[in-house]
Amino acid sequence: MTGNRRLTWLAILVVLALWIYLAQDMAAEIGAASMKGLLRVFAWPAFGYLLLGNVIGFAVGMLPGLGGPVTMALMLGFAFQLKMDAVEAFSFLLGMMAVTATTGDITSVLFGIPGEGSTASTIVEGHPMAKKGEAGRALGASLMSSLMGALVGACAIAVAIPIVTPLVLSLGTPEFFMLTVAGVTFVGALSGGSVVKGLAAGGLGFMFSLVGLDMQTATERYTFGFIYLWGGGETGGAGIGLVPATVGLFAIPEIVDLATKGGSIAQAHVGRLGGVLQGVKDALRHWWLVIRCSAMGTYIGIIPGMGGPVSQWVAYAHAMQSSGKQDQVGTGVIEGVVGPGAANNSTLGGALIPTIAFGIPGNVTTAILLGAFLILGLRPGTSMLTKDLDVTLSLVWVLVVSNVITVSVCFLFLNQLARLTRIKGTLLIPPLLLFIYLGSYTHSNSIGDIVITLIFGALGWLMVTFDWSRPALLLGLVLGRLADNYLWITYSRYEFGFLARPGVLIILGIIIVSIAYPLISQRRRVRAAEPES
Amino acid sequence: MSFHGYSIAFTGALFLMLAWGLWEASKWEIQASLMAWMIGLPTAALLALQLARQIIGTDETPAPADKDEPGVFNASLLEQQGETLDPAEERRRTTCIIVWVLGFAAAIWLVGFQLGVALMTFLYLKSARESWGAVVSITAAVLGAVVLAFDCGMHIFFAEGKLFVWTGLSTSPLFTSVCYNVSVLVGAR
Repeated sequence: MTGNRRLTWLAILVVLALWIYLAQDMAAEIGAASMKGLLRVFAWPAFGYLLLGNVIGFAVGMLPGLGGPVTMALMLGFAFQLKMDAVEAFSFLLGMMAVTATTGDITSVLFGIPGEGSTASTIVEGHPMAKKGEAGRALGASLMSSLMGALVGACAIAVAIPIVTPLVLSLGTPEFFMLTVAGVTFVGALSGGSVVKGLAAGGLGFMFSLVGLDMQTATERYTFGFIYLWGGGETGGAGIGLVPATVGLFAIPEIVDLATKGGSIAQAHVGRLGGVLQGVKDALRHWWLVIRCSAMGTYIGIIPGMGGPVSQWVAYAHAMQSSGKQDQVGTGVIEGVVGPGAANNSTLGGALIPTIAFGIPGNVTTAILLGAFLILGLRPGTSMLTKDLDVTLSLVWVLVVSNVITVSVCFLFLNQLARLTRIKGTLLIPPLLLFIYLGSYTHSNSIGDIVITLIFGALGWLMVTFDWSRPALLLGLVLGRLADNYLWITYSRYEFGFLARPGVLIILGIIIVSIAYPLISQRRRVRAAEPES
Repeated sequence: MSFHGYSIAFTGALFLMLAWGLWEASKWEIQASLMAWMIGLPTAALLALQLARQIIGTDETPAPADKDEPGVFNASLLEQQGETLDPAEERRRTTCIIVWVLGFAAAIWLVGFQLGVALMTFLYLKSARESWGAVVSITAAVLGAVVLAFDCGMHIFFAEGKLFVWTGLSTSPLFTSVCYNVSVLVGAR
């Protein structure tokens, strides 16, 4: 056993001991809630929705140009329209998202085009393997490591619950207000590009969330006299519906992008795929690498603003470095397929931890999912870790069950699935537009929903064009409603004295660091580049 | 105007919109305006800073082609395949799809959801020079999905198209009768 491995095992044992210490009081509660969550996932119609979500996620993952978060935004309205309860909705939405990275690997390996943004690194070693006639082996390894990665990510949520629960229960309304601000700040500052633009986009999202009738004072805020903008019902008193806004922000720019640049889908011919079992054996043989890369994916998922697109490359670099085959990059090294496959699937589990515990989403998918939590009446934090613990643990089961089903189906129908990627881009646009308008219209069955979608679609497209962060704006819109509520309660109780509370000061310090850190590293990079230029 | 000029105009428009929002908030009671002030003022400062940086040239927005947000977009297919698109052609295609997106919305407003999406799907696919088989089958699938799954199945209320309201005609009896016959066929009635 090498020194590094001994150190890793020691760290695992320390975490395990800490977990046992913290979990001893909650063990029975977690066990019961976990069982209840499992039964709810397998109950009808939740299981049917899970299968439907898997089928949609399957296709979306394989089709290049169609992103998982966009599809999730499109389907959000239907989850609400079909009057799904929380577990049914998450079976559908999370079941869809959980499998996109898995099936995205198939397109990456076969055609050298990533099915999803988070499966690009699989191309580097997976596609050369396909060219060498080892496509089946690469896919077998990728699918098996994806399954193992997803299981590690799901377990991470269950393991994190006893650790974060006492922390969350010790927080009050002022701290929760600061956490909503911190969430937007993290995503704004860390989502790439300009920090100033990211933070301003988050602030604008907060301002958009104020549109509607203020429930405390019955003041009309930015309604222009339109009763539609008063809001109410599922929107919790705010006027801009999350569904029409999310669909507009993410799906319309995607449609424009698809129609402008994505005229063709993979045309290459794929022969029969053999050697799948060999790939499975490869993944099992490299189990330690899979565990390490899954842990990296989970950890990166927890950090706001990162996610699959980052974790896959970190895992790829680690896999290649630890394989000792750095001189064979791009020639079809199996470790380079196994590592990213595990990491991009474990990221979702990691990203769900801060979303559930603090309402701080790790990436855009969980930001949209956070919107779904609120629409369905779930509040991240205390309630999701105590009263609704069974719903929270059902998310873990959805991740596990979805990946087991998807990987099994992939193994059975791999040859037939490869043909899906040959659908033409132009044929996708009318059905996508149908889903965009239908998805937003079902929010309140009003033409106003479509107008909101168009306005946010235009805003989203301009933000993409001029490099502004849309996830930060969306998060401001989602969390703004909670923040307004928390601020109102906090101000009524403490006035501005809440700013002196220790918890608030700690979170404020974290916010300042999260803003300063990217600014300082940006400046360092510029300084380092100056002498070279 | 150059791309940089449009970028400044966009930031300026956001700043003006926020400034109006703060001015509007000044008319509300403290409870209603507290959030607007606490968040709006720092945001206005950030936007002003961004605007100043763009005007003096210390913040140049990168070219639109290579800035997909992580986790949000896949790189476009052409970029993935290492191909580039002529900017004039890209502008033409972008304008076209924006017109189609708006056209779909306008058709839904004018002739109602069911007919609007079917009509626009047919026109879009024909204009994209798809085969008659693809055009007819996809249009039928779209119409079938809206009428059978969403109207008859999920009972979503689709508002009457404005054109029919203005002319005093109505499509509701048609779709109600379709739904009735379908429910008889599947034995729900």
